Amino acid sequence: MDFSHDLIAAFAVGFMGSLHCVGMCGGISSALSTAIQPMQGNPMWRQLVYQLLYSLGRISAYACAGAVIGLAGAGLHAQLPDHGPSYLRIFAGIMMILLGFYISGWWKVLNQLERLGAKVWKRIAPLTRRFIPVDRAHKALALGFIWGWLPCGLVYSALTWSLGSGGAGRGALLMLYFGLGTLPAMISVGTFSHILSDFARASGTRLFAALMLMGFGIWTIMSQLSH
Amino acid sequence: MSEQSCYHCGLPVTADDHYSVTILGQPRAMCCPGCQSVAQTIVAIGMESYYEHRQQCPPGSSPAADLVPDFLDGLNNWDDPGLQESFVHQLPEGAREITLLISGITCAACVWLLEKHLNDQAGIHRCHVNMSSNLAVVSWNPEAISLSGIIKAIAHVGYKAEPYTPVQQEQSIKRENKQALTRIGVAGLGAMQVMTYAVSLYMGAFEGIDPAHETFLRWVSALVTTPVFFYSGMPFLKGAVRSLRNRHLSMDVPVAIALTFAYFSSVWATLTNGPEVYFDSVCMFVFFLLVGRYLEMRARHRSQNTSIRLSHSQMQTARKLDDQNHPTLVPADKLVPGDRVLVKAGEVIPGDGKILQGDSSVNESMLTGEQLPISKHQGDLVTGGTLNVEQPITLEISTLPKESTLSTLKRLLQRAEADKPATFVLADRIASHFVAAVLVTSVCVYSYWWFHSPQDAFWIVLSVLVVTCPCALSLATPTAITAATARLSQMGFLATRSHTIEGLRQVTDVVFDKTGTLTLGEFQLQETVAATTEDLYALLALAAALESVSEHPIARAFHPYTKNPDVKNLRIIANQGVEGTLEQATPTGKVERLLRIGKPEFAAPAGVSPQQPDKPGQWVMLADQNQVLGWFRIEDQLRADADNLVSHLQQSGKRCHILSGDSSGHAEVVAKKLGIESVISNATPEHKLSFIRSLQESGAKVLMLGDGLNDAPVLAGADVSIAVAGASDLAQVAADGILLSQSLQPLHNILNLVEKTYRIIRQNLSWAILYNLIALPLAAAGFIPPWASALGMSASSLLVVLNALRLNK
Repeated sequence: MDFSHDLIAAFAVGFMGSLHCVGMCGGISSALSTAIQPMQGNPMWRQLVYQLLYSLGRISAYACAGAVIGLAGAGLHAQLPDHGPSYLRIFAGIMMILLGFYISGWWKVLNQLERLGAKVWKRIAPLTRRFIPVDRAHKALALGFIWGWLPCGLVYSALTWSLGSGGAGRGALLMLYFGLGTLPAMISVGTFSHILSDFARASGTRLFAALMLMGFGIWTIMSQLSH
Repeated sequence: MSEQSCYHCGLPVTADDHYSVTILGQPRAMCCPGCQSVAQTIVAIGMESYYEHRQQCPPGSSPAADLVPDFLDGLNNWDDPGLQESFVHQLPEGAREITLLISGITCAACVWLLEKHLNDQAGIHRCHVNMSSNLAVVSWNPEAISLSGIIKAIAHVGYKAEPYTPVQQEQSIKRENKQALTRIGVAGLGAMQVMTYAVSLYMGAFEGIDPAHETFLRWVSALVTTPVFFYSGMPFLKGAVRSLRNRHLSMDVPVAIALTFAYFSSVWATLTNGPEVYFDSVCMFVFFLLVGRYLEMRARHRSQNTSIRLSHSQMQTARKLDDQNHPTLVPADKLVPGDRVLVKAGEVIPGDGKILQGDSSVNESMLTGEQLPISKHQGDLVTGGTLNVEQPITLEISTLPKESTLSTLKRLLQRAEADKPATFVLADRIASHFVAAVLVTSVCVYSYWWFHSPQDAFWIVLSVLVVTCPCALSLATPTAITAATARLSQMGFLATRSHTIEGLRQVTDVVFDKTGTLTLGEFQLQETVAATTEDLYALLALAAALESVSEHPIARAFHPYTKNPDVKNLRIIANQGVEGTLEQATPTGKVERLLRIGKPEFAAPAGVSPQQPDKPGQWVMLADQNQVLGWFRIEDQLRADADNLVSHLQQSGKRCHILSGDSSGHAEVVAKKLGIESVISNATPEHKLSFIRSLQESGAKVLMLGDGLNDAPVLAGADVSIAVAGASDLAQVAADGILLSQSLQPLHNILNLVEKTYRIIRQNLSWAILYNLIALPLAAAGFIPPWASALGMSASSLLVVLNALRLNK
């Protein structure tokens, strides 16, 4: 029961956080959709199918990362005392609070983390060229997979959760749910992009998402400390 | 330094961020390494052009700013007479009339409220609000109230009004659309989110959930539901408050009650660890109801397109020619009579005018619905808004844009749209009683369940409140009528009054006022009778020579024939005929004969009482000063479609009559050809009126078809009147409907469409009643869960709208 709540929470974090990302990832999602070669068929449906493929690729990238981190976390966990609060979960809670700060724009400490990620990204980015123009389903899938490695504070803080998940499978599952949470916002970007991004960019929305995430973080930490 | 925003995503960039990417040749500020990476990648894979083409440019855009347009600012400007000139119409006796575009109209109750409030204001003569088009036509006395006062009065009851221009209407449609989508988006995302929590709560209820987790999930649900309730649900809450304040129950009332109860009881349950929360129901209600309302709104906008299309043809530029024939582009609404404009092939003619130069053909489908171009030559009149098809032409503008055919049409159309038949009001009143009944029922249902199964009482009442659909009742008629009006105007028929469509349905008798309605007005010579021994051809040559100077339709019948070149001194005597002289060599020397052609009273020589040939028909007399020379029988050509129309009408059980003012017997000829038995010729307007009265006394509903220009009392006496009018005469037309195509054929289709409209209204009403009769007991019995009730009620009103839209096809 406990883990399934984690999954729901991961979904929620993805959902909340992705509202913030509409502006950033919405851009790439729209740009990629211009890269789709014109073909016959209903353009709106094809758009949708390609958006889904990108996201599927992206989410599998998250899941891979989740598996790796989850495995590493399990190894780390073995080194720590197994009674008392789980420090890894407290860490995840702190990351969540930082994410809240980041999204609200009050304190962008996660930028440092993103910078680290950007270095990794520089090595991966050239791969994208192989899959442009996007005229086949597998290219869209691959491109989405690469896109998953974009430096993103949101993904990193979700990954800290997998760290405390206790295994590769669980880590991957957690990231899968997180990715699914981002799906509504990302898919709708293609369909009514500007309306949604206006809404997502509105400071009220960001504040709301930020407070929700901080609340999550605090709750995570509190539940660990009360053990 | 003012706050910068990220070039990629539009979020604010703070001073300590130093991320930038060179895009489109310039360094652009970025808010975070993420955006930087994305932007670099987009540039690297060669899709930089995305930034050029994206719909909306984040830098500097502040979405919050245009959400609250401060429209009450500068309101007093509207009282400036110069500004008013372009959208205020002057009525006789100093009154003024304006068409206002009202935002915020959601249902028939809004219309009722606005009309009641405005009609109560001192100085407002008349106010008609149309729900489908959101237009209000207000006429007022400028000495008693100002335009800004009217707009303030409208704002006072909670709506926003602005002078209607087509551009504004399109913008407001866009704005409304965007806001509705955002509301749906918030509600939809919220609903998805809350549903996942709800599912785990339900599962938890079965498997025994940890109370701490349950509380947590409830709190999250409450947080997510809050914006859904206050933002997305706002239209319902506002609508309910408005309708309560004005003591008029609308469908918003039960919905808002259900929403408010569900939301606050759930919040209470969350705070106090109560047994049940309904956050998922709140989100689902709002989501489904909004989607239903949105689709309805789209449908309404669709039927508005016709009038927008009409208006659009006016919003354009014209190539005005100066003295050296150099064209300059000017707005078409700045043209004044006397301006010369060049219209290239494929362009829309910018205003009413006469062709100075060029031969072309013009597509008048905007007016008549007829797609075949009509050829136009030098000297012909053309109508603004129609399409020049073949060759460039030069026009001289003849009317001010405000008085043009197109403007007149638009005004007539708006008046018809804003006019509201009594059936609407009735349906709305029924709906209001219905809501009251629902409220009473839900109290009873609640008390029943409270005693029998208290834990179910609450959600059952929620279902009862939401499941009933008074909207379907109040939408059934208006949507169908609006759709029908739009379709009719595409067919070249303009219903200028709201009761036209209803009137047309009941017609039992069709009266053709004047034979001219059934004929083309193109006379042809049928028979020549010589009164003396003179040669028929010689007579005809004389007649042709005399009539050659006249453009009267009768005179034109003679134009094809060879003229006698010796006839001189031709003179037209208005309404009588033509006279001229002929010098003839006779054995006794030169004789000058005075020839006259025309009505027998005019042409007959003094002292001679003419004896017209026996055959019925219209006879023209030719005479000189001594004797009658001959007679010519001329006959008007029947319209090609008159035959068809009359037989169609008779087949569908309608009686046809011809009323004619002339005594020539022409009416009888036409009637005989068409198989119409009831003919009254030589009828004065009083005769005509009493004939119509006698028909009506025998229970008939009379449709009067005429040119609409004269005989206003006769037209008014009929149950419905239709003018078969050329565009040029529009302004004087006093009929309930105008057939712009100048052909009769559409009339049959029009009557069919009206029949279909009422069939659809009947279907809609039956559906609305049936749905409510079934849904209400089911919900009261507890068979319908809250989410399904929202779905059912939205689907029900949507069905009504979609059914009405079938008329538009």
